[in-house]
Amino acid sequence: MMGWELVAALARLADPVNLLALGLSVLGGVLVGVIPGLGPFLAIVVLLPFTFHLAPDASLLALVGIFIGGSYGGAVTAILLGIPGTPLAAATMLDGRPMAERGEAGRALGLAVTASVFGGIVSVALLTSFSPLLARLALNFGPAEYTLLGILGLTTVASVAPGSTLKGLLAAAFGLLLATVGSDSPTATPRFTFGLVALNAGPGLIPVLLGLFSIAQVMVMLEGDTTRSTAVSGVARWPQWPAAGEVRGLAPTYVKSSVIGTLIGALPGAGGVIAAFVSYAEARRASRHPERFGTGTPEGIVASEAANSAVTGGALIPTLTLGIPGDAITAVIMGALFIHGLTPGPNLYRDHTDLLATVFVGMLLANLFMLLIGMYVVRAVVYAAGVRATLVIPGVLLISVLAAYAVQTSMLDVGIMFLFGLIGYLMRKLGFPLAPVVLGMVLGELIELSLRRALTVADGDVVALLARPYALGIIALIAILLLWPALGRKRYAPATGGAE
Amino acid sequence: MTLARLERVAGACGAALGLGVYLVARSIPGPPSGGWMEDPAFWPRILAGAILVFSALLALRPGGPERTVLFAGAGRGLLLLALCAAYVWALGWAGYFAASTLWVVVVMLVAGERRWPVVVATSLLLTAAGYLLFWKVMVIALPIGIVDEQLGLASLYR
Repeated sequence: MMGWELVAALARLADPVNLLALGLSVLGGVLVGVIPGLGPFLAIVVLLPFTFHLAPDASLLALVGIFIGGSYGGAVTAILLGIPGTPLAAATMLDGRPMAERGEAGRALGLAVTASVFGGIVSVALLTSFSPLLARLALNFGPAEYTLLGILGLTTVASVAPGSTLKGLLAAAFGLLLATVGSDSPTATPRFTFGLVALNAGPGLIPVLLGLFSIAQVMVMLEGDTTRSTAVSGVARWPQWPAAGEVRGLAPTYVKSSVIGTLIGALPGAGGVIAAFVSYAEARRASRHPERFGTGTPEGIVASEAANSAVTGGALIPTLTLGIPGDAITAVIMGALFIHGLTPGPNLYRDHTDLLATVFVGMLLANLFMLLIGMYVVRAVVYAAGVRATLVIPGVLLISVLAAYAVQTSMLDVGIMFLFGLIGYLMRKLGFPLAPVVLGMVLGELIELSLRRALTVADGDVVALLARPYALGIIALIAILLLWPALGRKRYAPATGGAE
Repeated sequence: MTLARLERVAGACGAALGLGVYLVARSIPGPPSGGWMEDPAFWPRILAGAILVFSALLALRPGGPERTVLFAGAGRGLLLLALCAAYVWALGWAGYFAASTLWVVVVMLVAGERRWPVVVATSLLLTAAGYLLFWKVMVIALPIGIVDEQLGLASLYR
């Protein structure tokens, strides 16, 4: 990406709509990160229908703004209340909370926000530098490679999802099946519509997402004590800027954790929680005082926060260059691209460089917004953690109903949302991961059409189709991912007497 | 019920789904010309097979987690879903304002809120916020019904 394109992107970002979309979404992301039970993913799902009404750049800025803000929001309650607002902040709590209990909550908040911003900026720099190179490599890929890349993405997410690989694969197959409902695009033949014309366009990504995540989350919230409110009075503190000497001492941790976060973010299925804990473990291993970890050491806070924020840029690398989202959040962002008629992949880098430059520069700006919010607004935001579930539930439900209805002003979509709410609730109770369903639904058409195109080109010869260097490499990766759990168990079995 | 047993039930349901998908896919008309790879039923059949195999493996795998899965709190969730279905029906008949205001009150009561001033204020504020956001900002036509008309709220839909 050329320097002048990034400069031109700055001019586009000066558009008040873009600035407002970015600023409000970062603030919203921090807010949903603070409110227990919500989180950046739920916010992105609910926001998705609104992005129909925005230009592609404003809608993408709004989505990445929530992604970035949400990756930090959970740290506020983790430090001040000992409750990670999102799972991303679980590692931050290990040292953030003890530091706050020592009376240094302001210092902990300052370290957390500066580390988040640093991690976010490093990840955007790596995304901007390396993603065009990967996109250029992907220009050599044909339909066979795209089919296999789609399957690789699904397999990775299914194999690392909580629960079991089998449940993950079943969830992914279910998502792929949902993507087949509606009119088959090459032949216009209706499939699984059961005579309902309204289903010709498929069940719709947005109602399904709202059901699986928003409605199912409300049902789970109703199982708990909905009238309990977290005591937040007196906990709010002004964050303090870290001292220059402290930053110099922590510089290696800032840099290393940001790179770890970006790399882990680029791996499909890994995500911010894994990045935060891997980075925390590495900081502890490299520290001259590992015994201080868990007692309120600044390295612990910086390692966790820089890594989980750096995931934001890393996760977009495979999404934008290959069209393979790394997790549920980037799958929704990819869905937003489809909604605006844009197909992620190398052609996006060729045909829409201006849009990508706007998003990349917007992500840098979003991190700066987050710095301002984290240092000067977060004191007010923490009170959101005290909101009772009895107030959150009707709000989430009403906005979900209206958002599902707004897609096509159709009550059928609202019905579909409630049906998938029940399905999502049951899947969560039975330990099925939901992210592979989303990925399957988003990638379904791409995988199917690529496969059919590749088979047509190869005249139905499956062997000729797969005997290509890139395809063989991807097949090897898929095989390793599927066999890894079994090999790991076999190696582990003698030491544990055969018990898993 | 233990998770292992529930997984077997889920596996059996998944296998039935896979079989059902395969049978329905057989009725999808094939392409007027071209090879088997252009058949619109080709990919659904592969998926049906995958679902059948994965579900059978899940249902038949030995052992499994013995953790008990509790559905004790599910009653409120299911009641909420029923209320949501009623709300969808009432939206078309009563109109956005009447249906939403009442629905938010009922949802808050089901959720356990008993402070009436909070219930009433939240209900009115949420309904108004939804109207402003969707009707005024996003210009989405919200359903107007006879109750809204009787209450003299029809002018708000203009």
